[in-house]
This record gives sequence, C-alpha cells and structure tokens, in this order.
Amino acid sequence: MKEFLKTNTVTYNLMSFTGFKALIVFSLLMESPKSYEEVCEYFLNHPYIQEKISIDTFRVYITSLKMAGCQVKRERINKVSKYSIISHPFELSITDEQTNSLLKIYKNISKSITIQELILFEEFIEKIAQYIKDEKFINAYKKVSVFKDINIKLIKELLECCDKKEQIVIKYNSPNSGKKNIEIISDKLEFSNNKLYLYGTGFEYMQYGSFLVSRIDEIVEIKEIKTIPLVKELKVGYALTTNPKNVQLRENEKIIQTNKDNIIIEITSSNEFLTRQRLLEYGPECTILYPESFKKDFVTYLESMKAGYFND
Amino acid sequence: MTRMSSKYNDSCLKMFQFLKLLTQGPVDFNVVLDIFSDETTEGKSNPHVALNKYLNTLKIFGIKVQKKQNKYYLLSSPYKINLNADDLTSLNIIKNALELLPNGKHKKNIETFIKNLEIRFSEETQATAKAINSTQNLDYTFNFSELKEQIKQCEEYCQQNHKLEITYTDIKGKLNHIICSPVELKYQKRKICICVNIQNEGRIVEIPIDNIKSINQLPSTNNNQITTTTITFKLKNRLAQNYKLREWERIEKFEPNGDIIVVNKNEDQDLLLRRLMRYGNSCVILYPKFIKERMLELINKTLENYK
Repeated sequence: MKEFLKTNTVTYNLMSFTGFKALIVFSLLMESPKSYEEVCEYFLNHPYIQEKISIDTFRVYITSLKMAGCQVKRERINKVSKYSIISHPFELSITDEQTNSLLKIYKNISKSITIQELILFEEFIEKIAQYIKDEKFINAYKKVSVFKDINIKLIKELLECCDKKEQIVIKYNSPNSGKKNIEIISDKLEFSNNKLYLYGTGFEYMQYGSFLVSRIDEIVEIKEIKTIPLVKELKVGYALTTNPKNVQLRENEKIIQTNKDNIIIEITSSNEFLTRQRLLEYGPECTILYPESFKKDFVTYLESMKAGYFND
Repeated sequence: MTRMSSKYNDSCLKMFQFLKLLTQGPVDFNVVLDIFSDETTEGKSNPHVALNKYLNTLKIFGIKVQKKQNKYYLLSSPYKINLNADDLTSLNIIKNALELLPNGKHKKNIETFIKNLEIRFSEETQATAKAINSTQNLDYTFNFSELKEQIKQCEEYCQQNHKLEITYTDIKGKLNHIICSPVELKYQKRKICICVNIQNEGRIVEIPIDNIKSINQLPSTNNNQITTTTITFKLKNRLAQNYKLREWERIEKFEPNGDIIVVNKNEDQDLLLRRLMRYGNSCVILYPKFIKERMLELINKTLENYK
C-alpha cells in the first residue's frame, strides 16, 4: 500500500475500483449537472482509471447511487441529458435538540458581541442553513435573530456611514408622517430594548436622535460636502441614590460629584425626549437638579403620566 | 413512480452503507465486518480482506477513516462544506461561548453538531481553520471572564432544577434573602443575571450574578411550573406602532385608534416597572390592580422629589 501511494500506481488487488468509480461519479454529480460524455472524459483523463465506461455501466452507477439514498436529477441542458445529485445521505443535518441548544448559545452571545460580529454570525447561519436544507432550522433561527425583519445589506451600509460619520439622507417610514427623507450625520448603530437604532444628529430638528433601522428603507444619498448642524445642547444635572455599582454611565454622561448618599451626574444631549426617557427609568431614585426649565417640564410630564391612570 | 433499473453495483452500495453509518457516528468493528461479510475473494469469503480493500479505496479517494479501540471514525466526509474565514470566526465564537456552559445536554448537543460540521470541511476550509486557530486568540467570554466560574455554576443550577436559597444585594444595595427555583441565565450587554421564580410570591426576579453573596442548593426539586402574575398594559401613540414584543409577551387587543393591549408574563416586576416608566405617558398599566398601584406609587414618589 505504501509503495502504491509513493508511486501512484494502482492495482485491482488493493482497492475496489468499482467503489472508487462510484465515489467519483458521486462527487462529479455533486459539483454540477454532468452528461455521460463528461463523466467518460473525466474517467479517461483520471490518472488511475484512464478508460471510458459504457453508457450501461454509467446507468448502473446512477441506479446504485439512487439505491444508496441519493436523489439524482436528470434534465436536458442544451439538448444533452445531464445528471446531478440534489440530495444524499451525507448531508449535514441538525436535530431539534441541537437547534435549541444552538439558539440558546446565540441568545447568550448576541448581547456581548459587536454588530459586525452579529452580521458575520447571521451570514454563517444562513450558509449552514443552505447545507442543512431544513426550513425548521432557519425559521427557528429567524424567530430569535436580532436582525429579524432587517435588511443585512442596509445594516452594513449604515455601519460604514457611521464609521466615517457621513452626512446621509435616509428614506424613513415614520409611523406618524409616513415615508419621508431625513438628513442626518450618522453616528452609531446600537441595540436598545432588543431593537436596532441608528443614532445621529438630524437636520430637521437640529438634535441628536435615534431612528429604528427596521423603518429605514434605504440610504438615498451620501453627501459629498458635510455641513455642521447648529445643535443646541442641553446639560442636565441629576442626583442618583442608586448603588453606584449598579450605575452604567452612557457616553454622554459623567459623574461630577460623589456624595455619601448619592452621586451627581451630568448628561449632555440635544434630545430632550431621550434625556427624559433616561431619567424616568430611575423613578424616585433620581432628582433633577438643573436646569429649572427641564425640571419643570419633567414634573409636568410626570403629572400627565399620573393623569393617565385616572382618565383611562 | 419512477422505475428503477434492476441492475446495480453491490460494491457501491456497501461502500455507501459504510459511509452512511460513519457519518452518523463511530461504528463498531463487527458492524462494519457484517457489511462486507458476503464479499468473496478468490471464491472464499473473507470480510477482513474486503474491508481493507474498501478502506484503501476511501483513503485513495481522500476520505479519512480512523480505527480506534475497535471502532471506526470518519475524519473527513465524501461531501464537502466550504466555509470562509468569517464563517470560521463565527464558529469559534460559538466554541468560545461553550466554555461558559457546564457539561450537560446543551454543551453535548452543540459539540456533536460542530463535530458533524467539521468532518465535512473541504481541504481549503480545513486549512483556513488551522490558520485561524493558530493566529486568532479569541476570547468572547472577556466581558464575563471574572465571573466564568459563577456563570458555569449558575447554568448548572438551572440544569439541575433544585430549589435555591439565595442571598443578594438589590439595586439599592439592600441585602435580600429568597428561596426560589432557577429558571435560566440571561446574558445582557454588560451583565449576566440568574432568573429565578419565587413561587410563593408568584413572581420572577432577575439577579445580577455579581450581586449574589451566597447560593445554597436545596434538596427539593422544582415542579417545573412557573406560576407568575400576568401584567396587562396599554401602549399608545408612536410607541404602540413601534413596539417590539418580548418573547414573554403577546398582544391581546388592537384598539381602533391604534393603541395596543399587551399581556406580559414572567418578567421581573421591578425591571418591568422601570421599563414602563421610561415609556412615560404612552403607557398605562391596566391589570392587576396591585401592579397598577405600584406604578402610581412610583410616579408619586418621583413627584415628591420636587415638592
């Protein structure tokens, strides 16, 4: 055997030539549809075989492959009969239990890897799904995918824009005003409450805002010349009685004082809505210190929340 | 029904049968011999010789089969899968995340799947995988590296399903002591929580692992029944149109004006209230009364800060 491998000469005593030819037919028909003539030509040029097979022998191989569990398709391509294998017993499969375990792992890691890595993961699963050929698997994945109902190509384009802080015009399907073009300086893509948002400074309201990526149809334009938006930023100071260990500061926040009973944080933002949302979440643990106008609006807002429980 | 020619090739069938068994897992030597038992060499039945002949055929074709402790293992498949470097990086992320799982069904299921995938790698994919493994030093558990052992332990508690006695500090730093049943581990952006069910209170609590002071596993097992309070709330305006339901939520009703009624089950009540506070006047809790009252209390207490 060793000698054979060194010299590349083959004798019938060392191997099953019929089995070997069957494997070759299998791999050729797996590649692409092949005619009898193309298979013969391959055999003729093969260093170990160097001979043609008859059409009857070829048919016997096809029958044997079918009996072994392969699904062989015959079709006419350019007036020539060609054969291909469309399914076979060696395909990659996944059990329901394995799918559940894989999805559990996906849920675990999806919160701790980057959006770029999540995209790679999505593409990997889609590729694997093509090999598995089981709709149950891809449907189960799609149900839990963080990119459910979002176009991956668009996410890639938005990521690129965010990297370069491009000034872009997006076609946005607004729940209030329908489809409209919005011009923004793109900043970042981030998940919040399991939804993917594009963050950036919008020119319409001249403030930093977030846009649901699932509502973005396309990037209409990437501006060649950038303009600087005249954004009015608001600094809001608030005292927090939460255990400092449990406080996760955002990029636009900084601790300005640590006291025995509380910490004083300052948030800088041009978006009052996002700031109010952030502070509402803390409930009674948070007290707004300044500016007075924001504090007053916040109290009015809380009163309207309270009124909602008596009106409904 | 398509008619199949009666002529077939016995060698082909035997070899494919052998390969089929190998792709399903290790095959016992005697089982393999049985496949080739009726093979004759020079008029005399000799399955060992026949087996060697077929093993050589596979080897020459490029399919690697290994014999170890009386069992045959498939090391490379006749069917090749091509993955690129990005795909292999994703696979490495999965492998890395497996390190946080204790030995058990999930780990075993994924390891088996990965093994099935890897034996189908094309030569090119194998080479890329080798290159990646030698150059990439990935550690996707880095976010939780300090908690690796605690995470593994908590995953194990969830699998074993025994009741737990947990002492932990809450968000305000107050020490709490509960007896509960483990449900699952929740991986979040910067923290990992163990989700537990306090059965006598009918509620779920999410405890960040690093807030846990001690855990004792009790001998009694959980009856697998999670009986928690169902909370119903109304969402209005833009929020109703954009709201993404959580896995544990469903829409009970669509109002004619566009509002939606959401039914929530199995979420930590404190965390849910914080979330609903953020929704401001676009959200109103409808049921149960005590949760509605807790929300009102939260709003009132917040208002008190400004009096």
